[in-house]
Amino acid sequence: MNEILNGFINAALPINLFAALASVAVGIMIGSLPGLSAAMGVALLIPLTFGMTTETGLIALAGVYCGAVFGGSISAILIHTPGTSSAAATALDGYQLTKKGKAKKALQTAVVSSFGGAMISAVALYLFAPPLARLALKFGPAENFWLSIFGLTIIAGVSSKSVVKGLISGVIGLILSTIGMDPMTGTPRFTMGSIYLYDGLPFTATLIGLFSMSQVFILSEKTIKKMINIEVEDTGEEGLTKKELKLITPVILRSGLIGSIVGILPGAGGTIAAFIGYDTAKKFSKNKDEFGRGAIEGVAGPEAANNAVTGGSLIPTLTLGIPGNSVTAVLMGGLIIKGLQPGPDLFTVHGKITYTFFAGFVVVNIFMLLLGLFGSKYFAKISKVPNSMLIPIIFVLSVIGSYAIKNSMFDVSIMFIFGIVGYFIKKFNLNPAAIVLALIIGPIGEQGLRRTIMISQDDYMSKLVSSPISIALIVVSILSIASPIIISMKEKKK
Amino acid sequence: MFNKVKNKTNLLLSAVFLTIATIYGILIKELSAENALYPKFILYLLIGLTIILVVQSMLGEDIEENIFKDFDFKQFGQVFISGIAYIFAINIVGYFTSTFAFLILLFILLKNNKKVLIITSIIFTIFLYFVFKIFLNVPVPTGIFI
Repeated sequence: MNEILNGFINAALPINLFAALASVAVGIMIGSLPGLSAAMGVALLIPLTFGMTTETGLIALAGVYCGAVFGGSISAILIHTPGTSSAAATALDGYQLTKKGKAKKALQTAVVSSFGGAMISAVALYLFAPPLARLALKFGPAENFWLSIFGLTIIAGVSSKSVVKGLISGVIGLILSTIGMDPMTGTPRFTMGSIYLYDGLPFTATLIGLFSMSQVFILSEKTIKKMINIEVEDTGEEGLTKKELKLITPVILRSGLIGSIVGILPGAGGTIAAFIGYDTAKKFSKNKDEFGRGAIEGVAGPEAANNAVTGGSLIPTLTLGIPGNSVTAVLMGGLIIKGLQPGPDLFTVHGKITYTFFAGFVVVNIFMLLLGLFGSKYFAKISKVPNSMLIPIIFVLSVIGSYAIKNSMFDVSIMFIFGIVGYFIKKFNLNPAAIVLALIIGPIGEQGLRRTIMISQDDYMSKLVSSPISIALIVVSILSIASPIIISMKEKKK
Repeated sequence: MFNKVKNKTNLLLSAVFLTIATIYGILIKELSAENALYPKFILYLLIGLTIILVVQSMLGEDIEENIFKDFDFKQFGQVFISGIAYIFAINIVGYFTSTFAFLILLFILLKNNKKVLIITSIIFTIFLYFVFKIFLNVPVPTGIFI
């Protein structure tokens, strides 16, 4: 309990409050710009956090994450173009409300619901992360190997359109993770004689390439059109009333729970949670006919759910080292760069940092609520920034971001190469999140496998499957691959 | 080439993956048995999954999908080439000078309003100077200029 309180005291330091406020604002801007993603924002912010303490840096990363998830709803509501994919369900009723001249009401519903969902997920974070981290103590080399396999199968299986392509993306990431010194013997592998690659691929530069530079190329390939003019003038229209707040409260509670659970399941992510949140809101609503025509419950449902994913997805990321989606994969990269390894140590040795981060997560969402309530119309203006302005700016930020980590132009080259790789990955529907995850967990899996072999010599196969945790991980790995295939077969039959 | 049907796109991808697998396999041969153990495991995974992708693509339905529809070669080329030139110029003319020039050039190529592009380039370069030079103390490359 003391740790939790101390976390809040630390999070309330002026520098942390400033980092939270600024990062949420940046996150909302990024989220409200269609075409820019939360993962991109977090990747670009990592180099900036180098000048901050670990706690402040992590709060800033969480701020961008939470802000961007909410920000996506602004353009979804106002111009029917979700700023992020997780806001797609919000566009269904949000835009209808705008067409009826109730944009203010829709935006306020979105921010209140996002806040509610995030708070529920914060409770889940406090409740479930520490015991799950303690479970990680029981993991030996064999379990770590199967955990790495499970992480890959779940993110590849659930978050990709094609399971095979998702898995191949993971395997490509594993190949990339073998570049550098062998984790057991220290011998260089696949470095092509370059000393720059002895430590493996520069992680942040690779991230920035895959998520930010690739987006520059994606935005550049289509002829840039003039942006739609959005005018959200204060016409004195009514915002969210007390009666409506009462109406959406149960929706927020339900969707908050759904989002937190979906967030905990690695790979599922905000988009899935938002659609489940929308469907559930519709099922429980007395005004089912209003859905699709501008129901505020249709905005509250997906928004509470997708923001609840933020806290939920941090649980497997921080405890088992398995990020739930591409943003948390990038965020986990930031964590590792700061010298923190996911697992029980985060809650014991680094307890101060972790609980400050948790409290910072709450603070970040309070700022999101305030900025959303009082600043949505200003953020809406930012979503008018044309791609012709964004492309050069993201390019320049990607270059300096990848350079600043080691002051190395080699890293800039790697970033650019992975920008091209990332572009083709997106074009061919491969999964960049699976690649990033594999880059992180590849060495853990390799060490797990080789240590198991070392310990058990010839009998390593039985050692690999000897513990109940290993067997459970094998079963869930198989399930995570099989379930999307079975679901798609059933859908085809229908 | 890979514009007409989806399964052709996947076949092309499979060819790329098999090429990667071949190169990776050749490089693995240079490693000791101990160091090559895990890479071999990954290699077999890649080959196995690529075979599944090939089979899926052969059996799959033909779906019209042009992934490079409405591709603006001129605009893409402008961004790509000026970007490479910018990265090369950083060490020659200095980071801030090349960044300012790159911003101006690309803003013009992408047809932004002249007044806006000049103001944005100046403000953004100053912002970068303050954040990376003053706040983060990053020793950015200097060339002829800063």
